[in-house]
Amino acid sequence: MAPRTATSVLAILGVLVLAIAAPFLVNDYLFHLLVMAVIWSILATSLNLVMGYTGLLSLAHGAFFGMGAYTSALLVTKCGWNFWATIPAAMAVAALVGVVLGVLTLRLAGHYFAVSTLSFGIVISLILEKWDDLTEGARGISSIPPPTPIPLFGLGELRFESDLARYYLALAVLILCLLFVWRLVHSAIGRALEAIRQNELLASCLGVNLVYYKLLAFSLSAAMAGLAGVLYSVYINYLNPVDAGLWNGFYAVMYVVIGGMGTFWGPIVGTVFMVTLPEFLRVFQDYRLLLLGILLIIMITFLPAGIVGGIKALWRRGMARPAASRP
Amino acid sequence: MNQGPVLVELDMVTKAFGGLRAVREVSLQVNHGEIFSVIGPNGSGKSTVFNLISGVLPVTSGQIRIFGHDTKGLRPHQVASLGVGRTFQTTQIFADKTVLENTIVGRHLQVKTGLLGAQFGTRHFRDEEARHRVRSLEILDVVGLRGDADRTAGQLPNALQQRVAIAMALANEPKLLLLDEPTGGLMEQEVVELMRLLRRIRDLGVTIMLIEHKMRLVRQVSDRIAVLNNGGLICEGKPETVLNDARVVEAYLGTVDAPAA
Repeated sequence: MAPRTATSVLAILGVLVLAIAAPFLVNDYLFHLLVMAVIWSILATSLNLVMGYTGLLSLAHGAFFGMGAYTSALLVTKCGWNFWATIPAAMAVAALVGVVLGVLTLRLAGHYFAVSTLSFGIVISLILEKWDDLTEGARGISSIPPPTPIPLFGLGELRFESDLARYYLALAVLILCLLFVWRLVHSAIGRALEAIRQNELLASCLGVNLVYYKLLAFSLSAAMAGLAGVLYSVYINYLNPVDAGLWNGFYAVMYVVIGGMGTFWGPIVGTVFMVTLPEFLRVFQDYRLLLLGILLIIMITFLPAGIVGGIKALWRRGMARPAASRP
Repeated sequence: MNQGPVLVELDMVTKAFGGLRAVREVSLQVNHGEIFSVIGPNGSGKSTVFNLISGVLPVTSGQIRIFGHDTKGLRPHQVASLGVGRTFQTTQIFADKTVLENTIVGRHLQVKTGLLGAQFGTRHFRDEEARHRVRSLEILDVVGLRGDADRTAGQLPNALQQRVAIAMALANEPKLLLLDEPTGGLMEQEVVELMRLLRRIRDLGVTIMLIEHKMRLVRQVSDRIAVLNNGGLICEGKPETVLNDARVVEAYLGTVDAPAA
């Protein structure tokens, strides 16, 4: 066990160093993709908590993302709030709406649940578009200021005007979210969520309160999706109702599925893969989307457990063989 | 031992699915410390009775009292928290987890640390996780799976998977254990071992309700037996009395699926 742990720690440190150094190794456009990959990774990680670990296919995460983004942006631009104070507010709004949606829909099974979250997503983006007085409607909210500087007591202050600073902010938030999810899934709560995904009847007979744990997962996940939205709003500086629309939710589902549902690293691997892949397919010009589609079909057919799930299965097979040949 | 206080009491319990009454006006009592078998031909309502007791299905009429609590309206997890564990006719386990992980999931209601304790990795949290591990291994000792603790549950043979299910149910420290056909698909020798296991669990102070088709096992292990036919209770009492009762013989001989005992 110990050498494996050491390898894992080294691998994680390696990825971390790479993530910190990456902005200096790429051009402006790739840097933009990098920031977006980090923000989408937070959204995908939040979705993985409900879709991967708990087994609830939510198509509402684009809406939670947008609600977090709008809450923060409106509080900053219209109410003059300090940016940092808007973060808990944005997360709370997303979590609260998540609880309400959950109470209404979590009793529905499988596809019915997915369809009702889909409709919810549509309703949210319609509200954002039509409630002109509050949200500026389809014009959107422009010139969202960067996060308020953080004073460093005598050492100047931490400023976030540069994209680089906002990249590191997003990276730090992603790491915090990953730590949160890691701790959560390695506790009794995570065991309960996985038990629900695998067998609701058995889980409830073992004492797992299905409604409570589904709501818990759903609201924590919604809050995290809202947090991703907040980072998006201060990176792009502009929001419109499309940002809360269905596509973000669909993309997040795709990232999680490609990376590996219910695996810890899957959402990040899937996001980075899918955000950067179109760039590598650029040489094919017009056929890019076609190739992307074919690749997706191939991956879902032959790697239903996603990239990380597939690697895990290969790894296990590799480990099983020498073990089986032991006397 | 059989004269202890009443643990489970069914009072005129009926369960109807539409027009079909799967369980009709069944009244029975299970005493503390006994092995109480429920037998009957296929489709006689045995599993439905278990589903009613464990809260998986609501009763249509009548009352079920467990340890004196009226369980009307309780969900399965609430019944579990009263101290009731169960297994299912088709073995239900978490197939891709290890045997130990399965057992630890069964400790769910015993875990006291919440979200924050786990988030900050408090000492209390780590100590508690370690304690649940130790206790889970003890339970695996009871069911004879200690040596298989780190094996993937789904890869075990059928007989051992059934024991994983029993270990999971025991992990919640139940006072009452409902076992729905634990001998399904077992070989002769495995049935004998299971019989020993049931006695061991009973001797630990756990009352057992057992649905069983293997008559030899029922005869040897049961303190009392209830016989269901067409959803109704036709006979109840000590094994020697019940198994020689004319109505019971008729109920079995009258069906195609007579038990292969």
